[in-house]
Amino acid sequence: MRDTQRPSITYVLASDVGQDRLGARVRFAYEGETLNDEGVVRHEDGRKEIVLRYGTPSEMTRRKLVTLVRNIVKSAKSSGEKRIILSLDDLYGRCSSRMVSDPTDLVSLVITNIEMANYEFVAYKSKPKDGWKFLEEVVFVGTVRFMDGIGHGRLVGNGVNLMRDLGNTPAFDLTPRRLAFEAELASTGLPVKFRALGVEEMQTLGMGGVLGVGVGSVNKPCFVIMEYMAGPPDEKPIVLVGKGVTFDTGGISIKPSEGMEEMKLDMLGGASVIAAIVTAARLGLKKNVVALVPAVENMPSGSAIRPGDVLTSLSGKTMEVLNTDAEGRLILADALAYAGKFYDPRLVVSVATLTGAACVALGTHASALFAADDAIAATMTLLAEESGDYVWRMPLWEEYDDEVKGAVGDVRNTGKSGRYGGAIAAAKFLEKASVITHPWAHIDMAPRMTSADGDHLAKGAAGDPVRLLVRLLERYTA
Amino acid sequence: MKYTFTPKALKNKDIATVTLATTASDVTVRTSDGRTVIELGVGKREEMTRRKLVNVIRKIVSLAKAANKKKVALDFFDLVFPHLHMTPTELGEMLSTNLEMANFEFVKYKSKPKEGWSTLAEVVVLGKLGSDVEKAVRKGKMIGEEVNKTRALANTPGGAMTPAILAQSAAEAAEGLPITTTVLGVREMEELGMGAVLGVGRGSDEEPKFIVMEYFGGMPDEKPVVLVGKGVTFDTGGLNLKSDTNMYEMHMDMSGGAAVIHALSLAAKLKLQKNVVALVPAVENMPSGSSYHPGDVLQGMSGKTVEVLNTDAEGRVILSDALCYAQKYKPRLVVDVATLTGAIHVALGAHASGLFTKDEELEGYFRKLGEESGDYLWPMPLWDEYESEIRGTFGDWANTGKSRYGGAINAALFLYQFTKDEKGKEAYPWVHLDIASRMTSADGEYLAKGAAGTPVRLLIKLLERF
Repeated sequence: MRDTQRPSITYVLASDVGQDRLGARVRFAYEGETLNDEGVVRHEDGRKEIVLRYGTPSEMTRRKLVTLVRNIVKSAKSSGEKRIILSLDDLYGRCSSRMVSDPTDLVSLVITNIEMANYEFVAYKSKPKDGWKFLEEVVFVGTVRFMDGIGHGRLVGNGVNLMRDLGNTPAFDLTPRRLAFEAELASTGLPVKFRALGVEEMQTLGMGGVLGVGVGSVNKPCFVIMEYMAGPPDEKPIVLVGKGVTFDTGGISIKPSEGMEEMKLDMLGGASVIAAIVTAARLGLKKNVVALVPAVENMPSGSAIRPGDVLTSLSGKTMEVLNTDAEGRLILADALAYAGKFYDPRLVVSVATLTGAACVALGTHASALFAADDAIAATMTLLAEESGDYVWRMPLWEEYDDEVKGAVGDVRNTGKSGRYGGAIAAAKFLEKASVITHPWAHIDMAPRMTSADGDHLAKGAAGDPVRLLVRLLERYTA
Repeated sequence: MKYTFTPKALKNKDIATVTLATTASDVTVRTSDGRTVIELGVGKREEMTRRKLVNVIRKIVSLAKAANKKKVALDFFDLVFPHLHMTPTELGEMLSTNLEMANFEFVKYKSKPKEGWSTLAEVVVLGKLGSDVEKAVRKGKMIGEEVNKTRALANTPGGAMTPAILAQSAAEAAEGLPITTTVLGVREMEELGMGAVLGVGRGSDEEPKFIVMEYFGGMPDEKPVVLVGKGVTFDTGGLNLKSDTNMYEMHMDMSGGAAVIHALSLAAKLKLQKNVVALVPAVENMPSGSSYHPGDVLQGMSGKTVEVLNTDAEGRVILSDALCYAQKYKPRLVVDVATLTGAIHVALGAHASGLFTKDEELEGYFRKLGEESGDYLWPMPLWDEYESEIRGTFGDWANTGKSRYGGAINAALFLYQFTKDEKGKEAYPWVHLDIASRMTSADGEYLAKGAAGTPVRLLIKLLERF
C-alpha cells in the first residue's frame, strides 16, 4: 500500500494544563449560550476554543457521545487546528453510567473515535502546499484514572483505519495476492501465524467456490489463514471469516456501470477480520483467534464461470450458480466449511458486504445480523451497541429454506424470490452450502460499507465492524 | 364449513379419514371396504413446531380436495403435541381458523365448473371433547371466516372496489352489530383540514372517503384501541406511474383497510368487552389532469406540511391524516396496518410483516402475538439516525427518503411524526405494521393465491387481550 500520509496522533494526559494556549480548548456550551458555526473560535486574548453543545442528561446517549467526539475532531480539522485540549474530568462528569461504564471505557471510546474522525484517505493525493489538516496532538486534562484506556483506544482506532486503508486502496493495487501480502505485513512482529493457500493447494482441498469465482481473473485467488493462539491451549478458537472480493464486477452477470467503482470495497469483510485479529494480537488478548479470508477478483472474461455452472464446495455440497454476481456466498461457503473442518470453533462469525437487499432493508445505519441462536444474537447486538458498529437482527427462519434449494445442484446462489428477502436468502445459502454445525453469526455489512451522512467520517470505507469484532474477541465467553 | 363432533370413528364412505403419520410423504389409502384414509406425513412427532402445525392443518384441506372428498374426519388428539404446550381450546381455535383459511378460494369472478367447486363442506372432529373445545372450534371458525372476508375484499378488482364501495363494504361488515359507521366525504374532510387524503385522492374520478367505525363494547371510561388501515383501492402510483410489473396486484393496496374493518366487526361478533375504533382513509391513486404532483406540498390535519417527492409514496400521506385524526380518541394504543413499501418485501421476503414501534415492550408483545396467531412479524429499527432522510426541503417532512435504501424505515419514521401532538410529544403508544411483504400468500403455506388476510388473526388476539 502507498504511504497513508497520516501522522499518528500524540496523546498527553495532564492533571492541569494551566494557561497552555497552544491549540484549541474544547468547551461545552453554557445553558442559553448561542453558538456560532462549527469550528474554532479565536478570542482577542489569543485563546482558541471549540465550543459544542452537550445534550441534556435525558437526551444524551452513548451513540450521541460518539457523534460529539467526532464533531470535536471535525471542528478542529476544518480550522486547520493540529492540537486540542479536552477535559476528560469534565466529560466524564457529564456521562451517566448507562453511557460509559468507567473512565477506561470513556477514554477508549474517545480515542477510537478521534482516530476514526481524523482519518482521511489521501494516499493517492498530492500534498497541498499548506500540508494536510490532520490533528496531531490531543492533550487530555484528567487524573490518572484515564491512563489505562489510552493505548486500548488507539489500537482499536488504528485497527479500524487499517481496514479502511485496505478497502479504499484501488483494486489495481489490491489484488487477492496483494491483500494477502498486506495481511502478512500487518501481522509482522506479532505472534500471529500467517499462511496463504494458492490455487494448487485449494485444488487439493477441493475449494471449488473460491476457485470457481476466481477463475475469471488473471489475478489468481488465494485463501488467507491467520492464527493467533494466545489463549489456553484447550480453549476452542473464535474463527472470523471475511469476504475478500478485491473487485466485484459481477462477472458474466455484470453490474451496471453506475456505482461499480465502489466495488473495490467488496473485500471489506476480509479486511475487517484481518484488522480484528491483528488488533487482538496488538492488544495481547489471551484468546485463540483464527481469521480466514477467501480472496478473489470477480471478472467477466473468456475463462469466467457462467450462470448455470455448478461448483462443488469444500463442504461437499454442489452450488448452482444462477447469478455470477452472487459470488460472495460461494467463496464464503468454502471458508465456513474450512472453519468447521480444520478447527473446532466455539464461535464462527462471517463478515461480508454481501447483499444490496440488506441496504434496502436497513438503510445506511446498521449492518444486518443473522444468528439462529437467540443468545448469540443478543450478545452480538449488545456488543455492537457498545462498540458503535450497530447491527440489526434479521430472521433465519426455516420458512426461507426453500429459497435456496437448487434444481441442478444442492443449493442455488440466489433466492427463488429474487430480490425479495435477498439478504435472508444469502444467509440461508451460507447455512446450507457450508453445512455449518458450529455456533455461527453472520454480519451482512453491505449497509455499512461506506460512511453515512451524519457519521462525521471521511467518505469511503466506514470501518464497520472492526470495533465490534475486537469487542467480541475481548468479551465473548460462551 | 360445517363442524360436527363425535367421540368415535365413522364408517361412512363419503368421509375421508385423516391421520398423521410419522413418514415424510403423504399417502391416500382406499380401504377394502371402500373408505378413504389420508395419511398425512409429518415426520417425527417430537420435531413438530407450532408453525409447522398450522401448515399441517391447512394441508388436510388440500389433500381432501385432491381426493375429491367433501367431508373429512380427524382425531383431535392426533393433533395434540404435548411439547407445544397448547391448551385444547387453543388447538381447537387454531384448527378451525386454519381449515377455514385453507378452504377459501376467490371464485366470485369464475364460472362454476360442472362438478361444482372443490371446497370442503364438513369436518368431523373425533374424540371425547369438552364443550369448551367445541366452543373454541366455533370461535376459530368465526375468525377464519372473517380472515376470508378480508381476503375477498382485498381480492376484488380495482374496477369493482372504489373508495365508496369500500365504505359500503365497511357498513355491510357492521350490519346487525353494535358498530357505528361514519363515512366522511370530501366536504367533511375539507372542514377537518385533511389535505393529505384529499391531495392523494384528487387525481381520481372516484372521490376519497374517510371511514370511521366505532365499537364501544367496553367500559365507558376505557380509552379505545384505534386501528388504522391503509385503503388505497387501486394504486397506479399516480403521476409517478408504476411499471407494468409493479402495478399488478395493486388492487390489494387496501388490504390494511380491509383487515382493520374486519378485525373490528369480528371484535363485535365475539362481543369483546373492549372499545375499538377503526379508521380507513380510502382513496384511489390515479394519474390524470387533476392529480397531485411531485413537488406539491400538502398540508394535512396536523398542520404539518408534507413535501411530495414521489406520488407513489401515497400510503404514508393518507395515513398521516388518519394518525392525526386518531388523537381525538385519546387512545391507549394505535396500530396502523398498511401495504406500505416494496422495501419491506426486499427486507423480509414473503414470510413476515415488518413491525415498527418505539416501545420495546410493545415490540415483544406484538412478536408474541404474531407467533401465537400465525401472522408472523419481524421488528425493524426506528432509530433517530434515519430521521434526516425524510426532512423536507420545502415542507416539514418529505414523503420519500433521500437515498434509495431503508425505504420501509423511512416510511415508518414519516408516520411517526404524525403520532405526535402539537407540542411534539407522542400522543399515544403506537405500532406500525408494514404488511406489503405479506399482502399475498407465499409458496408452501397452503393458501389460495391472492390476498393472505394478514393480520386479522393477530389484531383479534390483540383486541382480546390488550
